Amino acid sequence: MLLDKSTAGARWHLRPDGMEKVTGRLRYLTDLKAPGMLYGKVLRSAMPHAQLVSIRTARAEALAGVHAVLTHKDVPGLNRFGIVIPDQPVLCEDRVRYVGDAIAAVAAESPEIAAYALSLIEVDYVPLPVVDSPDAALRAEAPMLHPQGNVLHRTHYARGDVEKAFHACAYVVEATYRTPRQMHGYMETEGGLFSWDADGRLTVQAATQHGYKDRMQLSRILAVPEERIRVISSPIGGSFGGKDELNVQPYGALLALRTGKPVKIHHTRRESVRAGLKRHPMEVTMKTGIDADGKLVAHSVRIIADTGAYATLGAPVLNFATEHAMGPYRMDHVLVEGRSVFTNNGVSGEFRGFGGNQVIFALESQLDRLAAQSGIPPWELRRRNLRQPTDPGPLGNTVMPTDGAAQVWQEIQTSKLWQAAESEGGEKHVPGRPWLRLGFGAAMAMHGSGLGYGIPDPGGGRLGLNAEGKLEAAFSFEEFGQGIMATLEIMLMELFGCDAEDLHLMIGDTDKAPHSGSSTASRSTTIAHLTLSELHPKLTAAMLVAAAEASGHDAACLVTGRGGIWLEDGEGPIISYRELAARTSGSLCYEAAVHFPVTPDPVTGAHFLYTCTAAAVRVEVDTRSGTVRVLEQAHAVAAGPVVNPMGYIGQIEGGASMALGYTLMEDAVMEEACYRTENLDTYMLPTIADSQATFRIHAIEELPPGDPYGPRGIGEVGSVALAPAITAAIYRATGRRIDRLPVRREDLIMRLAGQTGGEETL
Amino acid sequence: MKALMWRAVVNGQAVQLSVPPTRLLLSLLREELELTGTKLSCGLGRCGACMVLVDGMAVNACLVMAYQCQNREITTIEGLASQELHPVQQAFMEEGGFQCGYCTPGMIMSVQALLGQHPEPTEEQILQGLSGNLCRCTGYGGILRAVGRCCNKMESPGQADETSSV
Amino acid sequence: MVLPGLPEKLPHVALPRGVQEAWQLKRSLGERAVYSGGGTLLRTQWENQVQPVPFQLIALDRLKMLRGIHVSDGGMVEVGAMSTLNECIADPLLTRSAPQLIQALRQIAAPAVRNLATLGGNVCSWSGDVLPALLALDAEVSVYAEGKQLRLPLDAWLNTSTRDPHALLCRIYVPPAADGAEDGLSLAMYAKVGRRQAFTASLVTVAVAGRFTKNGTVRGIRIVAGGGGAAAQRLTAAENLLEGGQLSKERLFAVSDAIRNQYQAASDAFAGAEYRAEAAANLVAAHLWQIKDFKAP
Repeated sequence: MLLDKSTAGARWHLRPDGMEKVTGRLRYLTDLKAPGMLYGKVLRSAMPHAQLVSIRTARAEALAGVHAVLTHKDVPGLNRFGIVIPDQPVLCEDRVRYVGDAIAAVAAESPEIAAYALSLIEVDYVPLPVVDSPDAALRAEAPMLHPQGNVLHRTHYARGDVEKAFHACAYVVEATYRTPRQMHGYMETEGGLFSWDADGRLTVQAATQHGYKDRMQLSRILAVPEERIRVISSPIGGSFGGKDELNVQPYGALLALRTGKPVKIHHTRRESVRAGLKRHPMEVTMKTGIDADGKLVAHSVRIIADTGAYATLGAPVLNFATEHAMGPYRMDHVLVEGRSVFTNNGVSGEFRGFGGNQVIFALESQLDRLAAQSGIPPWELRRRNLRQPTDPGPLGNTVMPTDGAAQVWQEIQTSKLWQAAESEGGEKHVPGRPWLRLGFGAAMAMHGSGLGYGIPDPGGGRLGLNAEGKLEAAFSFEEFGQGIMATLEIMLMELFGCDAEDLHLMIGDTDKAPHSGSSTASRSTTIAHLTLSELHPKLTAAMLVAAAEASGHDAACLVTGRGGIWLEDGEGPIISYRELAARTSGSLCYEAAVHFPVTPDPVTGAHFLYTCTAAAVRVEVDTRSGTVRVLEQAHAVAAGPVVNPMGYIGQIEGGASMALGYTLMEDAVMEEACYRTENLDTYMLPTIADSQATFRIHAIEELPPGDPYGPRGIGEVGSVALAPAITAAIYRATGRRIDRLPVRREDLIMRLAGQTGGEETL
Repeated sequence: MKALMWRAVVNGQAVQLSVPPTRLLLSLLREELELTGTKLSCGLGRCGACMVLVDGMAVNACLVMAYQCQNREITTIEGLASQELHPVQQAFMEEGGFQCGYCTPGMIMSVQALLGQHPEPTEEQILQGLSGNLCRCTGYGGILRAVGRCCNKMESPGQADETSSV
Repeated sequence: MVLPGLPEKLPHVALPRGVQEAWQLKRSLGERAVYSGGGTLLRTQWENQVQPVPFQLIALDRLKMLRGIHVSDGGMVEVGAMSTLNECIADPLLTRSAPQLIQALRQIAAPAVRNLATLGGNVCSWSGDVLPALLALDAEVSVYAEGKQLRLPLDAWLNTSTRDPHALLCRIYVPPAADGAEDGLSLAMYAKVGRRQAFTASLVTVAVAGRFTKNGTVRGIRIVAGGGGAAAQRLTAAENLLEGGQLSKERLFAVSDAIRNQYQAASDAFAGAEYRAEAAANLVAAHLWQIKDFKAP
């Protein structure tokens, strides 16, 4: 179904957090203030790799208006953080490994004084050789960045016999693909407010994508039990995976502890660029072979990921990339070897798409090259290799049956864009302007949701009728724009048949919501669906019993509805939720714990639920300068029912915009492990003028019969298939192969002589 | 440094503050006047999250120093409409012209400035008019549809022009 | 947003009322003072920490001589240096007289920044994207330097090595573009290659001025390239191939080669010099190719 506001019809739902956002009344966590508040700032390393010989803070401490200067000596508990492996120092002791490493933290009466105080802290470094690439890190003589060496994680997956199988192939292509260090670019940078109360309880109001995990990490760092820490983590001005890991929280908490006053931290954009996470740049070498009929036979993959200075989620990202290197295709002989390598290049971590974007770019590019070599049309080549609904997953793992691959393939095949493009055939020119080349291309992907086998993936929530007479749902999820609030509201309105005004949503507060797991990995829609499926009947049954008692009607004749309980035959409300609450005194309250669906097969990192997507584009290349414009996009997404049409459209369009940037303009350039793109004047995010493409979304809502999991999360899937569609279109337009992102104008510029009918002069 | 007695009319109210003359308007709004609707994001005028109107003109509050807006009329997102939603705000609500909402106040102020200059803007005028406002969440589709709605243009870029499935 | 420094170390701001007063103040403080127009470039430089926050800002806001746009001698349009970019874009005189200058201004920064940024500021940034357009138009400037008002061609001012370091740019004189209405067809063109479709620094910027006479002869050709950290340069080798001659396909490709060989582009993390020169050559050649078949009425 072509999804837009008019086809959504009555399902079109305005966001519950909309009013506050369009009026500017919403207080983000970086907007907060408190009486007596101090301002915190962190001193970051001046060098990408060095020994720390001494840190002298006396001059900073003596500055009027400074209330605290902290170093590693002031960390009461574990001086480390990291979601999986806590290997990153809160405050460095004797060594710095990237320019964002924290050395000291200051709290002062104004941000100006705090910044000036940083300049008074004297640090003696002894520079160490800078490891500025995975190649450099893997050399025998490279310095060891961590005790275990410079390889964070290795993956190895094999089936069949690739080497033998290549001999049986009619066509084999091999190429190395390189993807950029992309920055999340959330419009709200990291920050928040931190305060300890008189009872020694810490309140953290700072963005994260997993409040409970932040609580655990802070508990370790502060040597304080988790129950004494409250994390309020919502609302957030964008995250995209970049705020899941700890960032400013340890410094805010420590400074507030030391000074006894509330402390506010708000990263400038420069600080955010310097210290914050980035997408893993990857070098992906693929060798792929097909037989004469275009059937994929053999596929050998080598992945090298630059994970930067610390582990964070580098290992799961590599696992995800390893799994997604085979795509939604059948192939018998496979070898994937991956390495995630430490360097001094910033820190790479969680980022929307989670390692899929990089290998999908490579894989889809391989298929296009095989199509060109074999003469089989590229989209047809995909069709001949698509997985069947009950096939195992890419790693041979048992997965929930899905026909998504064939469905999205078909949807693009029959789309207006593709039909028009195919009927025009080949490369297209613009009359009177021979330097403009038009082309079209398409790509597809399947994308796993949830954290994967081996990583605990629990969730849950609470549902009840609260004392104020509201149906209250509590999840620890965070709203960072993805629309979880709207999704929950819609789900609850559909389940109870109630009005939005009958609801109260409680999210993002570890004191008030039970643990739902992280708001990541396209998992929260599924967790919410599973949790509410369990809780809704319980609460309904209890309310109906209470309503029956109150009204004298038989519970079997009652249903939940707008404003209260109704008679099944349409009369009501016979008792309002408010009245019911008064009678039940808020005692109707249930919690459920669920687990994200996991494959039963013990394959590390493997997923169970997958969404599928295909993207087709039309592009224009101006060969005078090598500039690419995307003119038209069509996206097909198979992710089950559309819960929230506005949110679904927004996530696909937004994900595609991130992918557009990744393909055409985004790169957090580092030279000798120092950032050259330090702010948004040099790091290019797509503007509205880059986004003029006509955009159509084909949403495929059907799930196989008996699928109990309902709507899948679509937070990431819009971002994963666009890059290779664009480069396929560029190839169609210009005959130039792109194996590296972002696309460089140098690679597409063509001397005018050759295009205007004259002789090439060189 | 000699302090400036900064005077301005902010959202219809006269204000007066003794501040360094180079104090940024953004800081005056957020820290002194507690108008946190105007946002800090890049700090050098490249993202538009801090967009306000000074004498009806859109400017980046992070670029304007106190001495530059002395005795001016300043409108922030909070001053756009008092009781009901301004039509631009209403359009953003209805079309989903925001997700995380952080760029939204600045975006709405820029749309207001654009429509003030061009009540029925062409596609080119919209793209140019909003080229100084970055949004990382929406991909601009919802924003373009919201602007189209403000101008009663139902055919705007990014919106499908047929409703039947293919 | 934060100027790292104690409150007492924040810049003083002077708002002189006369050009001479401003100049004398700048000269007396030397490097410790900086002229401030719209302040947009300064704010960017402070935020990026590539320029220190100075002791004193000399704000030019009150200097009447730096304001206003009107017709001057010889049909030139005289523009005050403190005119904002949007004021220039909206000005009917400039629009009629120098449409390619307007085109250049429209591609600098973004609408709101253009409400603050000034023409003088863009010129004085030495690599501003307006410079190729102004040089192609043979613009002149009036500066206050060495204690007096001087008028000289813009390219002379840009290239003078003995320039007074405290000189204050007051007015810019824009000659009318030769639109060729009487005599043929205008060759005016402006193009900027950026890193995205809007609000981008330039990789290379090119401006062409001149006209095609009725019998197809090129007259008054000026080709200027710059931007992207390179000084704006007249591409004289290409101009010499064109001036006074007919425009043929072969000549066009020779012109393209000449541009590629002469233009000294900068190189940085985003594009190399060779690419920039190639793009400049292509843009000019494509422009000329589009009108090469022009036939006089």
